[in-house]
Amino acid sequence: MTDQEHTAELAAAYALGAVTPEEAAEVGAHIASCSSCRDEVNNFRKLARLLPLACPQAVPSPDVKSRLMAMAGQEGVSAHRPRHRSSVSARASRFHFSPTRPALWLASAAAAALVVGGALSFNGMAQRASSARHLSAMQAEVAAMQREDLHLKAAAAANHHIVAAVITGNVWDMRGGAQARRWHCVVIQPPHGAHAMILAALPQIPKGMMYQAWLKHKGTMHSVGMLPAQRGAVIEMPMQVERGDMVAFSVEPSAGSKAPTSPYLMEHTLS
Amino acid sequence: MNPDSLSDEEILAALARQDLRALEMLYDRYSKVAYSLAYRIVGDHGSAEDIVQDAFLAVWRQANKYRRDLGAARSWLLAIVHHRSIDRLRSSASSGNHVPIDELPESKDEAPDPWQQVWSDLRGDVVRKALGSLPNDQRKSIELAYFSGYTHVEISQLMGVPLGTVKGRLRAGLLKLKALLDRQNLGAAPA
Ligand SMILES: [Zn+2]
Repeated sequence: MTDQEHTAELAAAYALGAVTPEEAAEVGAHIASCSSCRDEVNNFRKLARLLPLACPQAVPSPDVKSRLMAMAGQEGVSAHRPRHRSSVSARASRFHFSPTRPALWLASAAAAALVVGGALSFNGMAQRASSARHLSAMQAEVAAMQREDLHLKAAAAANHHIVAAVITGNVWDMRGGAQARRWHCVVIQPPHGAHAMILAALPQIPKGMMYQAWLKHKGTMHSVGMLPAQRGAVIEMPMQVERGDMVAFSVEPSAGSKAPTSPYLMEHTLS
Repeated sequence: MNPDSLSDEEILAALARQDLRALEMLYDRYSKVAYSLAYRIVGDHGSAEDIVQDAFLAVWRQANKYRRDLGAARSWLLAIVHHRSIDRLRSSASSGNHVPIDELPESKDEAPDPWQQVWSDLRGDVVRKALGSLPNDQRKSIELAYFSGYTHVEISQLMGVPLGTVKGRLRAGLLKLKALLDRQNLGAAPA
């Protein structure tokens, strides 16, 4: 980065920590000798430091203070004893994510989602599909795909379930985006008290991450399950959904998070 | 010691002398915002508690080495919380491209820190509302950067927009935030 280039373009990203180590080194070297860029970075950094205040207020359990004071007290009396790890590893086991239990047929249904998402582009699923015309059109399309795709022969039974759910249940369309960022996603509430489903083929996300689906039902947020990027997947939701519920997707480490850690990349209120 | 009478810097000095009461004061003053930040980032109470405990312990251990010209004590503490939270969030993913904010060099010749005012007024809701009133794309970009630890390259991938657009949104978002906070006399002083 030369003096002529300055860091204007990267100053905000740098202050927010959203640059690669290489870029950070470049910006760091530049602002060491350029006071106008340094001022700009510092001003952005002051704003970044306010962001913790924007977090919803949460209070740690009193145990944290007790443990902290006990550990600090111990270190005080023998100041140079080797650092002991905090209880992180012992308590890490508390952080586990229970995926929704997939019904047996769901295992083979990912292929079906691709058919619905890829071949039909969820055509006609935007409205609640209730007519016999829809039924036969969709069955014909799925059947055509089945003839072309060996995988789908194995998933024939699953298709049946999904198509039946689409035809008889409520379907909400969450398609969006364009081209490489195209979202293929529908939420289905099958009839007769079955749990809702999400069928989706979602765009690329950073390595090691997955989509996590969330459902706001009667005012409470529930984790619904994990979805991979760039291939069709079906998940069964842990409950039924109804109008007014909100379905949303965040991006999380593949083990899942207990609360969303990224903003919702897509959200939709079921109407 | 009267818990309200000591400045952060006086607390740090007492911490450097291994005064446990100073640690307790620092904890009482900042544990809530530290924990709120950790929980917002990692989305898990157990992990957030571990991070907060470790961060205060780190301050306790390193207070005697801390160079005060690097900034206020709470900035240091919260930078540690932020760094460790993002690390924790990303530890199960493979992307190791995040640059911890507390390792970034910092200039000492800063204008007065708006934090002080915000903090003393406990006006978190003002910042929350200001962030919430940014245009959606700008707010999401800032949140993906600061709270989710993504680089601008990753954000461009996540949001499906060119790199230049992401940099522009981060920049415009922070400038808009400043304008909103300035209106409340909470923003940073003009450059
Ligand atoms: Zn410059």
